[in-house]
Amino acid sequence: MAEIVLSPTSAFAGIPRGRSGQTDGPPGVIASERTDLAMATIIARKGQSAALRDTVREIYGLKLPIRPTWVGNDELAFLWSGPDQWLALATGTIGPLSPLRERVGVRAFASFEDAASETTASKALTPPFPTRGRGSPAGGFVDIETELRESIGAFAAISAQGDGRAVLRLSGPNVHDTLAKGLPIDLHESAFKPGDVAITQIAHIGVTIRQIDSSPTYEIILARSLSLSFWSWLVASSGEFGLDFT
Amino acid sequence: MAEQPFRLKQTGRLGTEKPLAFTFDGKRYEGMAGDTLASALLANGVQLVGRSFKYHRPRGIFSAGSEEPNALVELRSGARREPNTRATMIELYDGLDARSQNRWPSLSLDLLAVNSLAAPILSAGFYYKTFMWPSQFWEKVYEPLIRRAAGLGRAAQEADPDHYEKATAFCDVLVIGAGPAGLMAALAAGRAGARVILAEEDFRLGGRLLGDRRRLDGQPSPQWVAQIEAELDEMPNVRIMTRTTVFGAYDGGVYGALERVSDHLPEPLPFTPRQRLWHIIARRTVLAAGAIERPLLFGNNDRPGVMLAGAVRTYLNRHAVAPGGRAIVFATNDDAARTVADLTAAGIAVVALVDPRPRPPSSSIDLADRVGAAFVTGIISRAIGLRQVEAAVVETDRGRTIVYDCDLIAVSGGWNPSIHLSTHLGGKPVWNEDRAAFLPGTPPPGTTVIGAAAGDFALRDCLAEGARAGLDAAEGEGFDGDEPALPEVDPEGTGIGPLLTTTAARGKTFVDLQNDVTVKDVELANREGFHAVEHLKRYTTLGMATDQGKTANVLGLALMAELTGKPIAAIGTTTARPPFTPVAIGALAGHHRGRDFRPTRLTPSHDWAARQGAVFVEAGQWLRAQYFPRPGEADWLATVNREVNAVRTSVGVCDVSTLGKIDIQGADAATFLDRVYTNTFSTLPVGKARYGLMLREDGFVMDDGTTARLADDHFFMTTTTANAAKVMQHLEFCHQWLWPELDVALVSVTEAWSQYAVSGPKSRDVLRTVIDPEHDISDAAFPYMAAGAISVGGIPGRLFRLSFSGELAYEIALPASYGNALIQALMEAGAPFGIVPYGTEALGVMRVEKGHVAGNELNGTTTAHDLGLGRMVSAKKDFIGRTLANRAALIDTNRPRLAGFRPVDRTERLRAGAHFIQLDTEAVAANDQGYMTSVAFSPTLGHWIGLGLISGGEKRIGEIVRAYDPVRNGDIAVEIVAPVFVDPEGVKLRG
Repeated sequence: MAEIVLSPTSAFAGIPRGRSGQTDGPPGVIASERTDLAMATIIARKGQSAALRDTVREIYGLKLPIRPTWVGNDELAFLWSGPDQWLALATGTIGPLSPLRERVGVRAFASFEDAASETTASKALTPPFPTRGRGSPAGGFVDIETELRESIGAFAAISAQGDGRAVLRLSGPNVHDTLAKGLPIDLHESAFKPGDVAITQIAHIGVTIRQIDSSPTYEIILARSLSLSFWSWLVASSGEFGLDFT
Repeated sequence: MAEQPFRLKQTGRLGTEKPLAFTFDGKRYEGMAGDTLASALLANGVQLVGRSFKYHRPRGIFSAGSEEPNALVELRSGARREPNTRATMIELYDGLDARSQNRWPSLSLDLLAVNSLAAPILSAGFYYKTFMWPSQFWEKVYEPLIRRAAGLGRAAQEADPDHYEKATAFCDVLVIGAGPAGLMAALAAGRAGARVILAEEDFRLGGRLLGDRRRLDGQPSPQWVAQIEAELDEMPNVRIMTRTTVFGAYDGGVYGALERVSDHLPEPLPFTPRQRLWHIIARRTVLAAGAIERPLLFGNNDRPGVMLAGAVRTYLNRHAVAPGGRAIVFATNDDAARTVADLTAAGIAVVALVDPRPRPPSSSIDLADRVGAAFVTGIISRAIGLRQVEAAVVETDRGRTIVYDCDLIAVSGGWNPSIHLSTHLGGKPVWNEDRAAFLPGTPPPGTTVIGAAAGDFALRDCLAEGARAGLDAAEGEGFDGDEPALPEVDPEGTGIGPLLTTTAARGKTFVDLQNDVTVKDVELANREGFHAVEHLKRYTTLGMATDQGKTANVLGLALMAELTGKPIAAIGTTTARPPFTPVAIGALAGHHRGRDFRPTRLTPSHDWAARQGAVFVEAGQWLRAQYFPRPGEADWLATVNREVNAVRTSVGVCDVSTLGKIDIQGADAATFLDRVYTNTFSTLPVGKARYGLMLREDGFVMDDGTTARLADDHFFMTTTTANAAKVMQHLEFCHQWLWPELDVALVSVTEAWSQYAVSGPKSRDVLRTVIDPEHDISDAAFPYMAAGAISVGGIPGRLFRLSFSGELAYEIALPASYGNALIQALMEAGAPFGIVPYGTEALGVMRVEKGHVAGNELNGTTTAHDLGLGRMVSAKKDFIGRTLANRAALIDTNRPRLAGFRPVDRTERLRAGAHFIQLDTEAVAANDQGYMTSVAFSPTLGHWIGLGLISGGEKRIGEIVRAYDPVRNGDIAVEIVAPVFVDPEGVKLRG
């Protein structure tokens, strides 16, 4: 048998790109799938919370949040996901056993505010899905689990999660009107800001939502197996405004 | 098309002249934009619009709002047919089609009106008394008869074609009601900068300012409303929600509201819902819901042409419709003067103003004089006319009887503040004698009740309270502002007489129009001992059904107070619960109907399996492939047999991604597992997996699964599909609450891995070509129960040598996004061996053949011993459930225990659920010895086999018992056998 080359299938791969709902005028909601993210859960080991935060700050220049917010940029971000628990997101544009620290280190951000100005505008949001494995000329993927085990494994349990989560980026003039049809939290600028994170649900589907910028742009992270049910809700809820899936 | 003979020449305040065509009972009419169905019918002189619930009496339009008890119609047709819609709430649209209901064969000739003749026996409690005996007649005879005779409209038979939505909104200040009080409140809070939601049931803002001719700052009231509305519209922090009824108050500042997004259209616009159910989460609330007018009691007070006085004014002033041509006004309050003046201004003759108050205001007397109406101190005792009021019989305080010809009787017995929302969280209404009304007791936290809803009926007070309450609410949330200047208003009389109950009524006198409850029914309830308000309601049905007695309740209470000689305050009032007005079930469901009823979870191979023609089955939220039929196969059993045979003789692959997967890490991970499993995991070597059994605290089995040790401090646990969430919750509880001192971290990774069982004698051969060559998976290097890291095409994954089928088998896992590619790689690699995909049915057959327990046996009532797993219960350590598992009843060896079963006549089919009874004993519960939990046709053995729980279990091997299944008429002899039917020594899985 010939050498095996496996190609990944993203959570929303089966959804046709383009416009749905009403088609007059510009779309009210713009959605795009992020397929470039590696993810891992970080849980502080017993009594190691402070050491973990110190180490992350030292190595990655980021302050692990202790309330529902996120820090970082498009290449590496930490989302609060519970007491002493975080979700690390990294883009897959760097090689195996990556020099992630250096890549992030050159732009180490102390807070979200610093990061926001520098990254969101300058970086393409959806680079091509990284090829993983030996058949790929680019050769590799972000092994976030190994990377984090090496850097902070003494202080935290690391569990790879990336492939289990689907990530949608949502923006557009009617993004609030649409999310209000499922999300039970207040997204008004006085209540939820860029850098904020909430762990909640939409249409009975557990989600993590984080605000990327004040335009506003949000990222919804959900279980991969539920992506089609989520999509069904999104299409129904954005229909009156028009949805563009890019 | 008919003219609109009762449309007033002055176009009123409809705002547009646009004509709209509609039909009622098949007849074509014309109305105007801004009409309700009620106002359009009145404009066309249609007075008779329905028949009453019990007596089928002719009924007309009684009110102009959501309190309407009478004018219920069927709206639209086909799948969109909606019964019992209030004509007063239906916005007219072009092409509207409505029908009267509860009549046969026609509205004007309703044969069931003979019920009226039977009225003496149809009184309150009639059903309870008459249909008591014989009791078995109730379902088959009485109820169908009653249903045909009574009831109102007909629901659509087809599925609702429209979409509904649910949504959440947040605000600092929720203002409920956009009459003068609510408008001022919204203005004050909005100007201060607070986030305001102004919710209004009507399709226009203004409340009574639309129905009454008032002047504010010298302008007609609708102009003033438009000006305020324009300012509110401009404020980005104010959201105006019209056609939105706030129907319930809940804990934590949560309000339920129904927005009728498309009810005013023939059908919803594309991508637009019919209705939207809102959860409004408000920090503060201003309740300015206004008040509902009370009727008065007199004979035939239900005839078409008897109408609430405020509604008369609304039809005149807002809709430019004359509800009659010759009117009499009967009122206990100063509003009567307004009604007389408005009727006169519209050119309608007012023949008399009847006021029972001994000292009526001189202004009323003067006004009557001026317009040529008789002023009578007295009452109306009876209306004359059948399908339409023709005259009113008036009794003066001096004992004279006068009959006035008229076609309209405008009545007002005062106003009931709309306090419903203030009572939803337990606030008890308080009777106020001066205002002759129940006023709000303690409203929900953060809520202020103002204006007419608080019993302050004067316009001046409404405006002032609105301004104050709106600003207070905003300031309470940290905003600063000034109270808006109050407009100058024209003077008004607000005098009100006491609640009028005693009448010299003659003829049928209705308290509750919708339920046909008369004064006599209330008297009967009293005589029979149903004095308490809640009893009165249940016994007479007073205050039930779609209007929940909005116009009737207080009158009923007042009657009962009088009959029992108690003050109203002592009688109390029934509890108003949500919803304030009816809410369609569709709105409560929102998006979640049909396949969106709940979310569906799909595995990474789902699309691939669908392309292979898989039949799917629900397993919790998951859809799993049940079997993969091929052309030519007779039935599902043929398919499943083929799949089982393929696995037993060669190789098959099954998606097991749905199993719960929990990553467990930490220095104390092994200790933790020792405490949650009955067996020991601290002794498990790295690179090995072990089957584990978990008990609940009460000693019964909770779940089973295999757990692998990936490193000294790293375990990977699997759970059953069904119990994945429950086990995770249990482990979190143990970790966070029982043993917080342990260094252990738990996280679900169910979604992260796509996992396939590759089973059968050729499974290793298949995997050898898929797994990268540097990984040695030979039996020596990777024996039974081994677990380790592998890679496929460079993608790192995991391999476990586990077997549920009893064959040589593996589970291979790759990151979920590679699941689709992996199944195809496995199928390609397996093609030379005739690999088949198999589903949950074949999986089930093979596990029964191997005697493995699953959900049917792990059913919450079985212990480890019951399931033959006693050897897995360690005696050397403590674990959850240990103590209670040793209760005498749980270790009783006569408990039903797991055994295998096969039919004595091998051609017989076994049925799960059949109960075991000893041969030659009677099939009664006392002789029950257990039941069959799982059955399967074993293609390996060529006959049906089963697992079951039977007293004594394996001790009785060889015995023959009855498997009795009365549900499917099964009663066969079965032999008790060992629960492992295939390869009991386990030779194959170690191959």
